Amino acid sequence: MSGKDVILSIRNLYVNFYTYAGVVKAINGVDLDIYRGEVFGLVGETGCGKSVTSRAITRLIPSPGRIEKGEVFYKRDSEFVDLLKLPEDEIRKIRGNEISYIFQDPTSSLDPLYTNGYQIAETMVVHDKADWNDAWKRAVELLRETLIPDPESRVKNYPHELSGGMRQRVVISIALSNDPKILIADEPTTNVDVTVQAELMDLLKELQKKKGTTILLITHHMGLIAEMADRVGVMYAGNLVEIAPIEELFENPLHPYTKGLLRAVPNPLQKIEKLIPIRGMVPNLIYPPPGCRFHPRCDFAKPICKEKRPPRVEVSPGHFVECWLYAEEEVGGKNE
Amino acid sequence: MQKKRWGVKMSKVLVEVKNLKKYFPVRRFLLSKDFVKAVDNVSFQIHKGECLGLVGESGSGKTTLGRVILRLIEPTAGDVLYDGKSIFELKGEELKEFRKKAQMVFQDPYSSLDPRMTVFQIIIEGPRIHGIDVGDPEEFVVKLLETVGLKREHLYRYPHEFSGGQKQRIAIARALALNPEFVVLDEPTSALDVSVQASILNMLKELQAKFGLTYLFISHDLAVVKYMSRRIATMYVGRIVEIAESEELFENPLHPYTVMLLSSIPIPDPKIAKKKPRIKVKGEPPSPIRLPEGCKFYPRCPFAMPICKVKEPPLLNVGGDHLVACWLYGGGEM
Repeated sequence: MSGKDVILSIRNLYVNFYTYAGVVKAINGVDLDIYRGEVFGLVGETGCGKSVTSRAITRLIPSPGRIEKGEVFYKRDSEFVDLLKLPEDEIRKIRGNEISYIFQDPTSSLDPLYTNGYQIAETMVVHDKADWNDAWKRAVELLRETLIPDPESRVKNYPHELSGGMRQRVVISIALSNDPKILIADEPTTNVDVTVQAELMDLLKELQKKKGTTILLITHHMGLIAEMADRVGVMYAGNLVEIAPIEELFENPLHPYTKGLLRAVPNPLQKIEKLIPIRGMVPNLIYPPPGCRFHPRCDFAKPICKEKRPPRVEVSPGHFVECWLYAEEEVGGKNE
Repeated sequence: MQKKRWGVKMSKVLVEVKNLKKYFPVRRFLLSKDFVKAVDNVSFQIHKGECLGLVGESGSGKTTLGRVILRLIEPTAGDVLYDGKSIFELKGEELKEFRKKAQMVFQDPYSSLDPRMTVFQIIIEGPRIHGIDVGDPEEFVVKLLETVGLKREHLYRYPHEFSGGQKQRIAIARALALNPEFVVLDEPTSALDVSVQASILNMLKELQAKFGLTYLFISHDLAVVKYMSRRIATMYVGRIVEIAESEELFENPLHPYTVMLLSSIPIPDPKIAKKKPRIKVKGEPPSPIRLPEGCKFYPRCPFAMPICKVKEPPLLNVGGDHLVACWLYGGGEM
C-alpha cells in the first residue's frame, strides 16, 4: 500500500452544464484526495458525474459545461499547483504528459487518418521528449510492452486494421508514452470482451507496479473495482457519497446507495435467489432534490435529509461517508 | 451420434436445434468468395419452462443463433424443430401461429421501439395483426403495462419520454402481448445500469414463473446468465463448446475456453478478486473467415494435442448431462 503522500487533491469542485433545458448541476461539491502510487476507483452509474470529475481535473470539460468553482491541486515536483488556475499553455504541458487519459472508446480516441506509430510518437514529440526518429523507435517498444504481437509491423498499421482490444492497447501506449505521474482510465474496458478486459487489466496492474504510476480508474463495474482498486469512491448524482479502502467498502458499506449498489450486482460465485434493485430513478440534475440527493430513493430517509445536505464524516480511519445516518444533525453540510 | 448425445429427459423438449448452420457470404476482391461461418453445426435442445443461457464473446454467433431459431433469418443448413415441427417448413397460418408463440426482446431498447408510435400503439400492434380479441384494447394494454411495472399514465407517451430501463420494460410488454410460450432475450440488460438491470432481471424471472415461459437468454455477462438460467451453453466462434447445468458449469468447467472465460470475470468481492488465479490465454478469437482446421480453440489452448489441429471434437455427453466438445474428454473413436 502507498503512504499518505497526496498527489492530487480536489476541493469543492462544482461543474454545471448550460443546456437549453436548463442548468445541469453535474458536479456538486466534490472533495477527493488521491495518494501517490495507488489505484483509486471511482464507481457510479451513468450520469453520476464520474467522467466529468475526471475530465475537470485537466479542464477537459467541453462546452456547454463550465467549472463553476473549486480547486484541483496537483503535486508537481514537491509543490502543489492549482490546475484550474494554470494558464492554458501550462496545462497543455501537463495534459498527456504528467497526467494522461485512456477513454472508453478506442475507435474515437484514435485518428483514423494516421498510423498507430505516428499517433504514439506524436505525443512524445509534442512534449519535447524525443525527436521523431527516437519517438518512432519508442513507439515500437511501447507496443511491445502492451503485448501487441508483431509490433514492428503494427506501428505502420492504421487503427481500423486492428481489433477493438488491440486499438485500446494502442491508446494505452499513447497514454504511457510520456511516463505519466497520473493515469486516468475512464471505463477503459467497457467496449471489449471479458477475456480482453482481463488481459488489459493485468497489463495496467503490471505497469502500475513497475512504474509506480497513480491510477484513477473510473468504471461502473463493481467486479473490476474489487479486482483493481486500493481505495474506492462512490458517486451518486454529482456527489461523492462514500470513500473507503476497497475491502472496507465491500465488507462494511455505509451509505444506503452503496449498500443498494452492492446488492444489485450478481456475484457469479454465489447462489443468489433474488437480486435487490434500488427503487426509484436517478434524479434529473436540472432540478436535483433538495438536501441529500439520494433521499427520494432512500429507505432510511429522515426529515433532515430533505432539507440539508449531509456533511462528510470519517466513520473509521479512511472511511468517509456523506449521510445523515452517521452525522450529528447540528453540524450541517455544504450548501446546495 | 445424435441419440447418444442426449439422455432421457423428464421435461418436454420445446425447441430442438439440429446441425444448424448460418454462413454469411463476403466478397473479397472480384472473384473469390468467402463465408463468415457465424453459426456452424450447432445442436442443442431447450426444454419447456426452462431458461437456457447462451454465453460467448462478441462475434461468437450468439445473436445470429437466436435469430435463426426464431426464423428471423433463414439458415444455410440444418433444422430447428419447435414442438416437433420444423419451423422452416411452416407456411401461412402455421407460420403466423409460430410468430405469435415465439417472441424476441432485443438488446438496444432505443432502436427496437418505433419513435413515432405511442406505447399503446407499440403494444397493441401485435394483437391487431394477429386478430386477437383482447376485449377493451386500452384496458388490455394497461394490464400489460402494470405487469411490467409501468402505469396507465404512460399509455399515450412516446418512447423518447422513457429511460432505458423503462423502454426495455415496454419492449418486454410488447413481447408478452401475444401470450408467447418462448422468448429469446438477446442481451436484454446490456444497455442498462446495474441497479436497473437487477429490477429487469427480477421481473423476467417473475414473468417466467407466472406465465410458464421458456427463455433463451443470450448474454456476454456470465454473472447475469448464471443468475437467470438453469443450464448454460458456451459458444466460441460459431460452435457450442460446452453445455451444463449452471452450478455444474461454474464449479466444474471442462472446456479450456470456458475455464478461461470463467477466470476472466471480475468478482465483486475484493478478497477473492485480488487473489484469484487467472488462466492466461494469449491471443484473440480467430477471424471467422479464416478459421483454423480442427478444433477452433487450439491456437489459444494451453492443452492442445496433435489431434486438435486435425479433427474437430464432437459435442459429447461426459455424464450428468454435461456436454463438452474437446478432445481432452475422450471421444477418440469418433
